[in-house]
Order: sequence, then C-alpha cells, then structure tokens
Amino acid sequence: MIYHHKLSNIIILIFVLTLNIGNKIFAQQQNPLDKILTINLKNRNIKEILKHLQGKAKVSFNYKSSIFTNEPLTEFTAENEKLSEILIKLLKPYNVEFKYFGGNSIILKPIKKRNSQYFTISGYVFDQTSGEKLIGASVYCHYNKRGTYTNDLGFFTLILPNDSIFLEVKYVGYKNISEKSYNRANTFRFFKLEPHTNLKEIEVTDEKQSKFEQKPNSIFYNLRAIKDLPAFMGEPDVLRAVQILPGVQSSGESAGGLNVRGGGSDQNLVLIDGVPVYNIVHVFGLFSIINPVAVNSVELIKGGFSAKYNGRLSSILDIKLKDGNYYKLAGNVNIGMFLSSITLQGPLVKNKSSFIASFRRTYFDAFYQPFQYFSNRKSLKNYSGWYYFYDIVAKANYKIGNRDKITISFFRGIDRGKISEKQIFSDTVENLLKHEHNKQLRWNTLMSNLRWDRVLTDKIFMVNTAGITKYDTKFEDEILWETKPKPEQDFSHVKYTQTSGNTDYFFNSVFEINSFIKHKIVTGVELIYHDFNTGTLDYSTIFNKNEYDTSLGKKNIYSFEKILFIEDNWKISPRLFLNCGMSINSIAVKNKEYLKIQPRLSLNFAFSKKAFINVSYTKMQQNLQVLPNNGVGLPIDIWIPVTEKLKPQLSEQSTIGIFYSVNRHYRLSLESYIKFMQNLVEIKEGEYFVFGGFEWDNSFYTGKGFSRGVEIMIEKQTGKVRGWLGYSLSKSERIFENINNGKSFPFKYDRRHQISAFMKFPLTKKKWNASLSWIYTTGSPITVPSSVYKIDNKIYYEFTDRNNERMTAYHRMDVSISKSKIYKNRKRTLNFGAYNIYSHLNPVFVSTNYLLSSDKSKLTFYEVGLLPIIPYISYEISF
Amino acid sequence: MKWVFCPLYLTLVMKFLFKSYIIILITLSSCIKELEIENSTYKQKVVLWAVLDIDSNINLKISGNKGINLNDTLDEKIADISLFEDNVLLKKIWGEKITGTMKIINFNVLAKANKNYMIEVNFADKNIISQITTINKIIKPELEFSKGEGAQFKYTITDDPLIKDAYRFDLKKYYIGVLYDSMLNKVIDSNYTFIKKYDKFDEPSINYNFISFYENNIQHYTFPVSDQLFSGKSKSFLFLLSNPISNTIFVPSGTYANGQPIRNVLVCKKRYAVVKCLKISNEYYQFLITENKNNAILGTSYYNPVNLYSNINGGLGLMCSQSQRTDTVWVLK
Repeated sequence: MIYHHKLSNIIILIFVLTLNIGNKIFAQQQNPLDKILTINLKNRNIKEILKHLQGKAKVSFNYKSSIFTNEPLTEFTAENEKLSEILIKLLKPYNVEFKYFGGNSIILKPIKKRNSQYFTISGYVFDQTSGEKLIGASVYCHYNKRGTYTNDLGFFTLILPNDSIFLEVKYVGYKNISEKSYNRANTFRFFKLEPHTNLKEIEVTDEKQSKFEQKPNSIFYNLRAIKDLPAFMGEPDVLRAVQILPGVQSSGESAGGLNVRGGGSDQNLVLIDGVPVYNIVHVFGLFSIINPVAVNSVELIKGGFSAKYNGRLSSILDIKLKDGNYYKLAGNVNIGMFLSSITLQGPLVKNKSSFIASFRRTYFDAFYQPFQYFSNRKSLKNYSGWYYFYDIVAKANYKIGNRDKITISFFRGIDRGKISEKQIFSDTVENLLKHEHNKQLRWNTLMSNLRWDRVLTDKIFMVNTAGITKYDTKFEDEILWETKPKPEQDFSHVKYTQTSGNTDYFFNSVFEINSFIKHKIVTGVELIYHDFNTGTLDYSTIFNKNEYDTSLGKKNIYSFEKILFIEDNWKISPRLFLNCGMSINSIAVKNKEYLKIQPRLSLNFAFSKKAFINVSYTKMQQNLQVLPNNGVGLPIDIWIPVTEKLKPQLSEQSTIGIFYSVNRHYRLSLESYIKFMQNLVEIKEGEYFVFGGFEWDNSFYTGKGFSRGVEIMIEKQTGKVRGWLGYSLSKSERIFENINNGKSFPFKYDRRHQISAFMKFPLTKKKWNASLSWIYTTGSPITVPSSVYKIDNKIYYEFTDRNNERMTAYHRMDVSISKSKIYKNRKRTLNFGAYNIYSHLNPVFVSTNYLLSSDKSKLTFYEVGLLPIIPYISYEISF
Repeated sequence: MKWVFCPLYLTLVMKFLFKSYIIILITLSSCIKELEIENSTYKQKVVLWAVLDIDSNINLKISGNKGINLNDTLDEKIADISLFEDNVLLKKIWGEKITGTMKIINFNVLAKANKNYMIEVNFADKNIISQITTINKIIKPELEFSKGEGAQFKYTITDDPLIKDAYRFDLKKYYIGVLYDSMLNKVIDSNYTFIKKYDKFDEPSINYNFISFYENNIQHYTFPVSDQLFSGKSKSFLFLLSNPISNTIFVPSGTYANGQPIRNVLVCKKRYAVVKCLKISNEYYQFLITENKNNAILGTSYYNPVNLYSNINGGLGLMCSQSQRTDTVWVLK
C-alpha cells in the first residue's frame, strides 16, 4: 500500500516536470506578449475587449470576473503595439495587472495594495440618547475583515485598505450601525448608537469578529450589562457580582474584599476612572463604594495583565464612570430600606459639556434611635450608638472642539460609627459620680483627578491625568468622669485618637499609537508620590485641672514611584494575536531604591471561527500592602509601603485558556493558572494590628506563596434567560521559614472548590423580571489547637500546624424580583428580594472562647456568622 | 378628614412593618454554630511547671496534655526525677507514676539565691526531659510613698546590666471593716475583708498610661513591666490609689432579677494595698509575653494563636525562677 502511494507521487512529479520543460521549450519559440497587434473597438466593455484580444493573439486570459465591473468603454484603440503594452494600457484603470508564466496562458489579477493605499477612520462611539461614551464598542469592516474596539474613552482608530468598505458599529444592547462608504480619505467620525428598548432585540452580535480581540482572563460588564448584575439590597452591586465569578473569592461576609487566584485582598488594583482607590467597601463589606447608577463599565482582569496596569499582584478592577447626559437633564432616585440614593446628570453646555453627580446615604442610625431609647430608659447605665455611611460621586467634562476633552472627577466615601456608654453612680466602690465612655470610628476614601484627552493625530491618542487619592482611618476613645465630692473641680477627661492613612499624588501620561496596520502601541509614564501615616496615637488628658497632651507613633513614610511602560498589540496573522509589553517600575524610599522590569506576554491563537486558545505570562510588582491580620479584615486596615527592610512583593503568573463559542447564545471558557509570589508577609504568632502598631515593621515574617487552579465558565449572554455557571478548583499555599516549621500551609482564603451560578429571566412578558444567584465555596482554613493542658488551673492550648482545619462551607442564594413600568418617560421600578434566602449561617470566624461540650468529653469550637436572610424592598424612579 | 389620619396610619404601619422585620431577622439569625473537627492530630506530651522562688521549697508540677477529645490523655509512664544544684545532684525520686492528672513533686529543698538548678525527668523509655534555671536575687527597689489626697507610691529600680531578667508587679487592695446588708440594714460580718485586684480601669488615675509613655510600657500590673531593654538604667513605676475620701464603700454581692447589682455596704476600718515586686527570669518573662499575646485578643476575630513559650525539651510547660519583695502600703490604718 505504501509502495503504491510512493509510486503515484513519483508519476505526478515526472508529469509536472515534463509539463514545465515542455512549456519552457515552447516559450523559447514565441512570447505572445511580444506579438504586435492593432485593434479598434467601440462601445465594448473590458471583458469583450479581452475576448477579442484572446482571439487575435491566440492566448487565453485567466481571471476572476469579479475584478472587473461591466461598465462599457466608449473606445479602445491600439495600432501596431505589443500585446504587453496594450494590456498595460487596458488594465490600468481597473488596478489589474497581468502575469505570464509560459504557454498561451496569461493571468490577470488585482494589483497588490500598498501602504499608501490605506486610509484611517477614527472617532468616538456614543449612546444616541445621552451622548455617553460606549467603551468596548466594535467597529468592524466585513469586506476586509478588519476591526477594532473603542478604548476606555469611547475612542477608536481603524486603518483600512483603500477600497470600498462596509463598516459596522456594534455594542451589546444597542442597534447596529451599518454603512457603505466609498470615501477613501482619512475621516473622523462620531457614531451614535440607539439603545434597544425591546429585550428580544438584545443580542451579542460580535461573534463573527476576530476572536483575538476578546480578552481572556477577564470579565467585562458594559453600560447595559451592569443593569443585569446580581442585585444586593435592591441595586446591582459591582463588587458582589464580581465576588461570585470563578477564580474570585470574597474575604468573608464582614470584609468584602476580593481574593483573586490565591492572592490577598490587598493585591487588587481598584481603579475609578483610572485612579487607584484603597478601600472599596462600606459597612465592613456589605456594600461596594460605588453607586452602580454612575458606572459606565466594569472590567475585572485576573491574569495576562496589560503593561499599562501596574502596582498589584493579583487582579485589576477597572471601573469607569459615566460622563453624564450631554443632551438633557436626567436623574434617578432609589429609595430602599437601608439606603437611598439620588443621581442627576445633564448638560452644562449642550453637546459640549456634561455632568453627573450621585449621592447615597444609609439610615441605620435613624432607625436605631427609638430602640435605644426604649432599651435604656430604665437603666442607670445606658449604651447608645449609631452607624452610617455616605458617598458622593461627581464628574464634569468639557469638549474643546473634536479633539480635546477636559474631565474632572471626584469621589468621597465615608463610614462613621459610634458606641457610647454612660453610667451614673448612685453608689460606688470608688468615688466616681458619673462616667462616660465614647468610641468613635471613621474611615474615609477620597479620590479626585483632572484629565485631558487629546486626539493628537488620527492615529495617536493621548491621555494626561493628574490627581490625588487618599484613604484614612480614625479611631477615638474618650473617657470622661466626675468624682465625688466636688464634681465641678474634679472633672477629668482622657482621649486617645488613633489615626492612619495614606495619600498618593500622581501624574500619568498615556499614548495610544495606531500608526501601523498590524500594531497598536500603548506607552506611557506614571509618577506617584506616596505619603503613608502608618499609625499615630494622640493622647490628651485633663486630670485635676492639669492638662497633658502628647503624640506617639512612627513618622510618616514617603516614597516616590516611577513607572514606564510600553506594549504592542500585534495582529500577526488572521489567526494569531500577540500582546507583549514591559513595565519598568522604580520606587525610592529613604536611601533604598527598588527597580524591577516586568515583562507581559499574552498570545491568542484561533483554531477556528469559534474557538481560540490563549497563553500568557506576566510578572507583577507591588510596592505597598495592608498590615497583615490573622482575623477578619476590616476596612480600617492600615496600608504600609516598602521600606528598607520590606521588599516589594513580586508575582509571576502563567495562564492557559481555551475559549469556545458554542453557538450565538453560549460561550464556554476553560482557564488554568499557576502563580508564584515572593516577599509576602504574614504576621508573627500572637501579634495583631487593629489600629496599627508602632513596631509593625518587626512584627511579621516574609515568605513565598504558590497558587494554581482551573476555572470553567459557561455563559449565556443573549435571549430572555441570561446568566452563567462557573466552577473553580484551586489551591493556594504559603511557605514561610519561621511559620509552621517551614512547612507549607494553606492560605487563609484558600478554598478548594467554588461553584457559582447566576440567572436573570423575565417572569412576565413585559414588566416583571427576576434574578437568582447562588454560590458555594469550601470553608476557609483556620487554626485550632491540637491539644489542651493545665498549669495552675489555667487552661492553655497547644497549636501544632497553621490553618490545620476548615470552617464549614459557605453557600448562599440571593433572589431579586423587579417590576418596571414606563409612564410619561419615567421608568419606575419596584425591587424586592432577599439576601441569603435560605438563611444559611455562613461563618465569619471561629470563636476562640473554646467551650466544653455538654458532656465535657471534648473541646467545642463555635463558628460565628453575621448575616442571616435579609429581605429588602426598594423603589426606583428614573427620568 | 381622611387625609388627616393618613400620615398617622402610615407611621403606624411603617412602625409595625419595621418591628416585624427586625424580629424576623433576629429570629432567623442563629449566629453561632458548632464546628465539627474531624481530623484532630493529638500527640501525647508531658507538662512540667516549676517556678523556683528564693528561700522557698522547690516543687515540680507534672501532668500531661489532652486532645481535643478530652478522653485522649497521656498514657501512664514511670519516671525518675532528679534535682541538681550547680550540677550536683541534690535529690532523686525513683519510679514516679505519671498520668494525665497533675501531680506535685515536692523536693523539700529550699531554692537559694544565685544558684543554678536543673530538674531531670528520666522516663523508662530513655526519654529524658531536663531544664536548667538560675535564681538571681532581687535588687531592692527604692520606694517612695505619699498619703492623703492623690496617695501614691513609686518604685525606682536600677537594674543589673549583666542579668537578663524582668520585673513585674502584682497589686491587691484590701478593705477591712463591717459589712452591712444595704436593704435590711443588718450587719453581715463585723470583720469582713474585701480584696480587689488592682485594675487601672477602675481608677480615675488614668495617668498611669501617661506615665507609661515615658517610662516604657506599663500595661497591666500583673504583666512584666520591664525587660532587658533598660538594663543598667534607672526606671520608676508609679502607682496611684484612689483618695480615701469616704470610708464607706459598696461591695457587689450578686444581681437582682432585673440585672441591677446587689451591693452591700462596707464601712472600712482598715484599708491598704499589698504590692509584690517580682524579679523574674528571662524564661518566665518569655512565657508571660506569649501568655499575654494569647489573652489580649482571645475571643475576638483577630485572634492570632501563639504557642506558650516553653523551655521543656520535648514537652510543654516551664521551669523558671523568681525572687520577690512584698510591701504593704497603708491608706487607712
């Protein structure tokens, strides 16, 4: 059989060679292109002329009929000219050339396009009704199979061949714009897309586009998809939505941080309009700091990081705010059980300038007051307290011509709480008459920036941003008392105020260069000046009329960070796309400077129109971190910088993923990763920092981390029923020389299995919608004693391994139902539902007041949970 | 008329709804649940405890640890226990039976100052546990005392730079007098002694903390207040007692059903404080440091477990030494 196959190959080879030799011999005899001809034809089209020439020169022309149009020629004449000269003259207007390889056959084909025959179309894509920029909208030419996406500012640049084009602009939830254009000059366009009003019409229509421009390792929610996010207490919550994605875990119900692919909750870069913020939660993690009404898009990146992102090891949460309505005043009012919000947006100068402002506040404090009054009214000792948070988001922008835009953004979120204890003594062991103890806690997140976007040329886009980001905490502990018998004289007072926080002043300049057909280059520079207050204690007292005042703590630490980055998005071939880049990060603190180069690489290869594979490698550096605590994280955690002793954290992450579009409804992804981390910190045994400590730099060890995992996700983004189902299998470990005898131990947020599901569907044809989300994760590791012993009747515990046990599994289902009605251009929505609908006790920590079981046969550990079922109702009006 | 009542009606409905909501939440939130530990790894260990005090009998408390399942205890062992002074065998106890239950071994030997002591526990299976400790005599601190309003006393210690040790204070207040039942106005005890451990939070003299900022770390008074850091330097510790304005104090003796404390009246005849100033060995200091770290945040979500310092090779517990000076400070004699 093999012999037969070889023989047939030899015969074919001989046949081909014979033909070639024959052709060459014939060609030596006569070249048809040298034939001298005379023709004179009128009212013939090109095909008829070619047919005429075929007959005269006894040659045959091979060509695709599509390269010529059927337009008639009025006249074509040639007198005693060579066939080659006639063909040049005849074919030139059609951009067609001829090739002769011997024999009688002459091939006609279009002249290959050169660079000079390309033109650039650039511009912005907007929402037609509000003028809001559309981030990630696709601009695509089917004819040439070339396309691009709008950037974070809704801007795009597309270089196209100089032939007729059929351009299509698309965005999920909006009607497509399709247009034919024969304008081959460089153009600057504004595409305004009209939103769909009918659910049926909403489809993801970019499946025909290049798969390479899809982003692996990330999840993107656009303007419309944000409305579909799982709701918490009546409004979609960005953070809660992200927390149930595969590969992402929450730090716990009382913390609300993100733990992405085995990383710590301080290893996520949260950007609001490009500015990093240090705290992302309110109420110990129950609410995220951003009002979703003011958000344009959210993207979570878990790996394969672009070189433009720097400063954290594990993930990027990039939140873009809306610009505000450019055409008319619009607003949104949401009244809920726990908090209410109001958002206004509108033009400052129509079509040129707009604003958006949003305010939210809770009213737990107002509700709680009557209960306090009734509980304390008969008591000499009474307790009282309150808690509230509010946040403000504001943004305004002004367009100067078509090429410049100035934007100013502001965000502030404040949480405050107070516990007060008052006691009046009718009798006392000591001599107190009155005693009052107040504890107050406040944390504050602030961000503000000024940005200038400029389209330098059709192919170069520039963004300059300068701003400030601040995070600070304050804890006040105040004791006042009066003593017998002279309260007017012996009034005394003592007050501790513990503060910490950090402020960053920054400037960055980013250039997006689209000058090359296959390359998109992004480069930039960033300068950050960090100012860290790692904990200060102010103490003041008045005792018997004497006043004392002092302040303790470390001095502020200042550091200066410089980042230079460059990346290339290179479309190597229709099947192969490469994102490669590099970031150089240098940070100087006191007399020490750390300089690191971080390579970034991500390669996509398409198997077919439906499937592609991605591999990536990234190295990241982190120059600050939260003081580690072994307990549950609180938003009052203290950020510390690198110091002469504490080196920057480093990570190397490699990922591989397969992405498959099953059909136009379903998408399947399978991703795996492996991540190494260095210079991580773990607190020494017995140490803790609730409000910081003055000796924090001697209170932890540094070590390594290692995590790996697999994530599977199936998504349905179209149709009436939308949602996803995800699963992740992961393992995250830490290795420290001085902890656990140098053996590896599970990271405190290591959760082996996670299953999550989200579904949004209509209950009725028009008005009623519902959403369901469910999550299950393996319990968090905890350290429990392995034995117990007594000394002098005191019980002590022996701990052998770090994180040797696990709490019970975490699982929860949230339900949200909404009814919407549009009346006189006002959309009214009633939301109700429940958080943790089957009221599963999800443990936050294990109580260390170990108790004996009822039969005294064993030590019993008790898990403490915080949030049972929380039903809610809210009412929203949009106008 | 209908509209007049409407807000009232709404308020009532809202109140009812909100109350119901809170009740439902409280009912459903079972905040604590037992955690099942399935794979506890229990390793049997012997626990030794010996604090050698100058001019006091040397005792050794010996027991074993237990597993999470308290039925897992130390298997019975036979051991020979030896006491050495400056490497000379002073006493040996043969064939002592050791179980998980605590046993006190009294050597009937007085500990002397500036001597090295070693205890060796030799099990039949050749497993030897031993530890050495040294007793150093306390350097007598200077004591200043003032009485009357703002009564205070102050210890000033100049430490020996050559010895790694630490100081701690233990202070108790004594109130002696006639105890009356405050409700029935009847004498309960005509010579009643009420002892109160000193707690800085009871006192208006919060400037303890203030002083501590300059005088290193005074934390709790039963906690080591000094360490090797101030070796060779002079250091003062100031204690303030509440002013003896009235000799009548109220002694808690329980609570009424409504949670209010029941207090009996004690008319003081005598009132004084007993202060122990202890010089403790470095091992004891390390032990107390770890013990304090464990206690400081025990029961909170910030608990970061730490094993107690132990200098017993292969076992648990401590062998250490201390010397002390006790002073009585009279407030009302």
